[in-house]
Amino acid sequence: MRTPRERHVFAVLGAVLLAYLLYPFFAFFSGTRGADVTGDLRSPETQEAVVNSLVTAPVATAIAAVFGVPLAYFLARAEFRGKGVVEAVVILPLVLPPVVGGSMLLMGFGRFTTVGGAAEAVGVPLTDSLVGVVLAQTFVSAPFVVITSRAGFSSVDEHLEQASRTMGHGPVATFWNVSLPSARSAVAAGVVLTFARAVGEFGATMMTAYNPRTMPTRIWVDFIAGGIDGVVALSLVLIVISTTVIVAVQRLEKVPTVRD
Amino acid sequence: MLEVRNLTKKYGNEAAVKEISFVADEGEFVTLLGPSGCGKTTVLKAVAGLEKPDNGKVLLRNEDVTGTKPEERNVGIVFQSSSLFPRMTVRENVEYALKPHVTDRGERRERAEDVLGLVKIAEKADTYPDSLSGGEARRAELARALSYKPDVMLLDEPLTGLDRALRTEIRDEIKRIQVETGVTMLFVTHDQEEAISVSDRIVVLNDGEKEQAGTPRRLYRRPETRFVAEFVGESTRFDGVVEEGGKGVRLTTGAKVGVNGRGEGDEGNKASVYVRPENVELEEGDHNNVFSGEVVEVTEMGSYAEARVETERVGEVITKVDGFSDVREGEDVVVGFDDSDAIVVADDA
Repeated sequence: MRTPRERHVFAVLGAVLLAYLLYPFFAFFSGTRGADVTGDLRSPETQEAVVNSLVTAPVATAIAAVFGVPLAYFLARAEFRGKGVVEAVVILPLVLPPVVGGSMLLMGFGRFTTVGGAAEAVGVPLTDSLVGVVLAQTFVSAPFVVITSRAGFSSVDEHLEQASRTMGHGPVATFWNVSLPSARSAVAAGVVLTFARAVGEFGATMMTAYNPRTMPTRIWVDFIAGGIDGVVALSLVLIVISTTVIVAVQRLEKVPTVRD
Repeated sequence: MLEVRNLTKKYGNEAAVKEISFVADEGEFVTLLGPSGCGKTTVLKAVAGLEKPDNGKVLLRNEDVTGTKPEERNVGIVFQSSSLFPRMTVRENVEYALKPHVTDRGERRERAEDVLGLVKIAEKADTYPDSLSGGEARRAELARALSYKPDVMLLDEPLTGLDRALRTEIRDEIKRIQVETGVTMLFVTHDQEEAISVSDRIVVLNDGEKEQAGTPRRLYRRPETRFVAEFVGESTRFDGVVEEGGKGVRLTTGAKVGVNGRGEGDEGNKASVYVRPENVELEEGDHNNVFSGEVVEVTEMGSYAEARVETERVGEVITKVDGFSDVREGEDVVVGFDDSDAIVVADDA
């Protein structure tokens, strides 16, 4: 962009989108003054939903990170036949409508399936349970940690790892001491984004675990029962969590934020 | 100490390295010299265990290590670009390198300080890599690779990216450290001046194959192939046919160049005669190869100048003269060189 005038064109066009993005927030905060936020937050149903979300989302995030970070590293370093297919599988849950993902999870883990039936028999139902919530959250949120971490690992100079190996460190020690610390900003950002996606998950969770309620499913139930005023309290909680996530991600650098 | 035997490495159907063999004795400074893409880094990585050869062997201390992992070989490596761990200070980098070799933390710290002192980077011990200059980063990497006393140090174009003064400084430093520690070094470069200045022995590679191995003096004075004659050092080339039992070469221009028996055994064969610029004088003297001509170009290099003389009988001849001398373009001169300074390389070499 050579001149200020050229910059203005981009700024004006961008401002249109920015206004559209901000308008719902403005409308939400100005149109819901009649809501009993404090009272709603004190209700047992709301508190249960908050607890359920804050229990399941970290578990889903941990599962996605424990298995997703190694997958990300493998994809960043290995060349093999069918790599494109593996990458497509990783991205698929991102582009798939969550309710479709939820339907597939039901067909794979529902109580009338082999896996779901066996789990239920030992007292661990995979649907309509907190485990079901975790399954849905992990399915839709795991791609974030894999994709972001993979980008981080790809940017780490392979010579660092090769130098570590020649010093006498094995591949695991090299990953732990060199690769992971070098890509830690991207990995951490991936974990934070995964948590954000998991805590806000609705579509797939509706299919696999309508009960027990998480914050998003509680919002839906409250909306159906009491209209827009009934969802303000939990929406505010989710907005606070999302805002915290954005700040965390921006502080972690080198991540897909709007900051340079 | 290090032996590479018939090493071959292919990428797809393309052989990057073909049947390379050479030896580096204990405490020797061996350089793999060749142009970009000649396979020298592939050889280095095969020695480090970072590339698996398709054929051939790598022996360290007379032990076949071809199938072993990099961490099992005890080699040190310094790459072209910085490979210092960015989240560790210089000292932590060195201590991390020492960890698999020295279990005692106190001893690790002590050895790290010793080696940082040896490469003169001790004052930057607590600095992170992104705050180091290019020269300091190179020193830190050398310290890290030396710290655990590797059987062989591998240096992959470690002077790339440094300015001229720093290149000379670090090059001399590498040589000093090698002499002081007695570590065997395998150095990779495309710069023939660099190779000549530091090496005990040079292995010249071209297109994945070994052209010639020998001391810098041998390679410079007695190149055995056309590639080595032209890649190592500058020279004037004359093409012709060997005659008089190898004592002379009849050029395509009709003139004869005396080569003092260097063409022996190649009677009647096509060959090239190479003469180094420093062996050509702008005077008749008592040289037995003398040709008259005109100076067509003088390129000043500071301490010397390169003069190109166009002769009628043998074509262009390059000579070195004093820097900023009185030699002028357009001047009529004679060029002379001894037949004993002629290098003869047969066409099939």
